[in-house]
Amino acid sequence: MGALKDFARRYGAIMTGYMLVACGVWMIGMIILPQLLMVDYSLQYLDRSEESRIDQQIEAQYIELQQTQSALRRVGRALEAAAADAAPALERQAAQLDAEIAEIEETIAALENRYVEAEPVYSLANYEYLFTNSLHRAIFLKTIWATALVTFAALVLCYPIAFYLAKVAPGERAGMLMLALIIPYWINEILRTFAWLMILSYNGIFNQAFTGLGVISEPIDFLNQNMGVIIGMTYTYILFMVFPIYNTIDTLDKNQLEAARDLGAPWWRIHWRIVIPHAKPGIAVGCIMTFMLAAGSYAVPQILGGTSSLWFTQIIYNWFFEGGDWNVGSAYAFLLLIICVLFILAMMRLFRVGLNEISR
Amino acid sequence: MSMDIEIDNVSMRFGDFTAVREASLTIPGGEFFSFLGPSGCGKTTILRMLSGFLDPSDGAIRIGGQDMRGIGPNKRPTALIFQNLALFPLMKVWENIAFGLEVRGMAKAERRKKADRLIELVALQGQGDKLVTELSGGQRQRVAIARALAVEPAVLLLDEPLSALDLKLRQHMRAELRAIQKRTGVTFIYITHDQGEALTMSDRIGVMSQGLIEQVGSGEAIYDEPATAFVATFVGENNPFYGRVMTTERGYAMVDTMFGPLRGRNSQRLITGDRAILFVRPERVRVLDEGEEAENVIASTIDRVDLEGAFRNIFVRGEGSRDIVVHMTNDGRNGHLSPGQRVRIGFDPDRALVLQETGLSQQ
Ligand SMILES: Nc1ncnc2c1ncn2[C@@H]1O[C@H](COP(=O)(O)OP(=O)(O)OP(=O)(O)O)[C@@H](O)[C@H]1O
Ligand SMILES: [Mg+2]
Repeated sequence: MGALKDFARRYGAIMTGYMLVACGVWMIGMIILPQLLMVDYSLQYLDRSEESRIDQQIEAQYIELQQTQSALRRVGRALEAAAADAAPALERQAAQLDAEIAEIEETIAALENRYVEAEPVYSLANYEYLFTNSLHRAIFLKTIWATALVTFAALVLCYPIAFYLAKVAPGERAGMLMLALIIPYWINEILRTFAWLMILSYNGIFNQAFTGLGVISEPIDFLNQNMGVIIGMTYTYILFMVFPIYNTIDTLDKNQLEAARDLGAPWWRIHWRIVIPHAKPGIAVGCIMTFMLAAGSYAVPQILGGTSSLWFTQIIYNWFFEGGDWNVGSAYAFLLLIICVLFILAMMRLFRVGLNEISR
Repeated sequence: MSMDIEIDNVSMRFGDFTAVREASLTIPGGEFFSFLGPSGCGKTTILRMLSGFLDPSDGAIRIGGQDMRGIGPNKRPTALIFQNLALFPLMKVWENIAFGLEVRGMAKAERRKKADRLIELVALQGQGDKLVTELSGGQRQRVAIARALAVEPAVLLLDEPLSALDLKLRQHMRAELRAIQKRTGVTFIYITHDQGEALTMSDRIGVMSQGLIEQVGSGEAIYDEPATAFVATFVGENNPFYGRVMTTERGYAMVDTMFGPLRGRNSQRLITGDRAILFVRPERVRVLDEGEEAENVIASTIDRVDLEGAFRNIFVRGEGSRDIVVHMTNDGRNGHLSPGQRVRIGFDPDRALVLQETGLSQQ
């Protein structure tokens, strides 16, 4: 409250009012409402089992109807060609078939009468579905560990880069390197990912080069293993890891590194005791960003993933746009969100950093 | 423990800039040695060569007789206290102090014990479990000293460690540093651009200018017998009189200044015709009474009188815009001196020093 008053004093009532309304619209309209709507969707279960049973029954009746009708037609033809003495029997048969048809049509009408739109009921069934469908469950779990792996790979790759940029490279070279890191990101994500497709595909640059050099005897099928997706994602989200870490390491006083060295510390201990503790908020932010982006990535797995390396986002997409069940799709999407939030909490715990430090 | 430090004809070049030029110096173990010089004269560079962050371009540094070339800062028997202290802000006080011990693989309990002993040494009892960010400037200073002493260095290198403190605390810490040095017997090599600091604490001082060590000696020697014009102006206050040497005789030289010939000691053995500066310190000039005579007499007008309590500074109009400063104790007999008044001031040739005028850029 005090902060608000302070703000009002500094910027005036109109500005303060505008800020409050804008923040409110942003928070409620763009974040909270859509999410609540999604949660609501995800909790509505449409029980379609009755519906599909009736469907099946109607379908069976229609098949019988067709069969009966064709039998009737055959009887009609036989009647035309038949001798006079055989006619009464055939006519009897036709009448009987007519009666059957009428009966079947009646049954169909009755069934169609029973046919009603399924009423949505609130339940956790949409969530349960993920755990009963073994394929979806496997993809869900794979997505989590693969995302964790991407995050870890990006961290291992980016920490030395960030440290080098912030503390080792002389000013000019650091600027050049930074530029070299950023320029590829001026190309759109899809194109960059396609570039990786060229590199990693079965007949791609990597396989041709390395089979040519005799390093590997057979081309590696990156795309149908999760490798392709993991490599592509690590590359795609590297910047989101480098910059937070770079920013924190950059604020570290170089004298502290020298002081530690002067006191006898080898390089690894300097990192372990001085640099990493200082860079913790940056590492946490980098991991969180990379994890969230990778977990929610759709384009990269779509391009670099083969048929056997589906990403969970692709399943969600299918529910929304192909399976036509928004409720299950919402449940899946919400589960992904929960995983991400859990990851954030875990990182904050692990690095003992608070929200204020993360948003710094 | 006694490890002599030899700086043997050491030069340090950065590109084509020479930061330290042919320095040669031996500092015996256990000494409190200060490097004194203006900003940018190469003091930190010397210290970084001693601690191992730089290797000299030429010459050798030997500690305890061993050539230090190629030996990294983590392998030298030196510990450096940085200009900004460089304490580890995420560690507690005792962890800071024990960091060097942790590096050496000492067990935690033992580290804590040793850190506590050092905490006592620097008078920080009860502060061991605080974060360093919770300490005052002077307390941080002590943590830095304790942290450096923890690794039991033969040589402690201090890079203007008091410059961030206020005057009171600085004076207090001077005494403290000196006491710690005496107690531990560790060689202290201290860097400062504050002559008061150098004079009060050091056994010996090396005065530097533009990469050159101009003079090495005790505080007295440097103050009373500056070897060069730079030292004479940089250490303490001095009144310069420019001119050429007219005559020399038995250790004295007569300099032809705009106030007429003035005589002083000729320690550099200048010869007739040399461009020279005659220096005399403000406290060694006196205002002459009516009829009083002196060998060197200057007649001029008083520009300004500053009363500083226990003493007065009389500014007498000198050459160009420069005033001649006369430092007088306030003994109740000089209250009549006031601006605009004509006075005669005089000094003894033994109190004045004739030094060669070099291309020094000092004022
Ligand atoms: N790494 C370096 N590269 C280039 N020049 C340097 C480097 N380090 C120091 N210098 C130069 O050497 C000279 C001496 O620097 P040094 O840091 O030793 O000065 P200092 O006497 O410690 O000054 P201060 O009292 O301001 O700390 C300076 O002119 C500085 O610009
Ligand atoms: Mg310096």
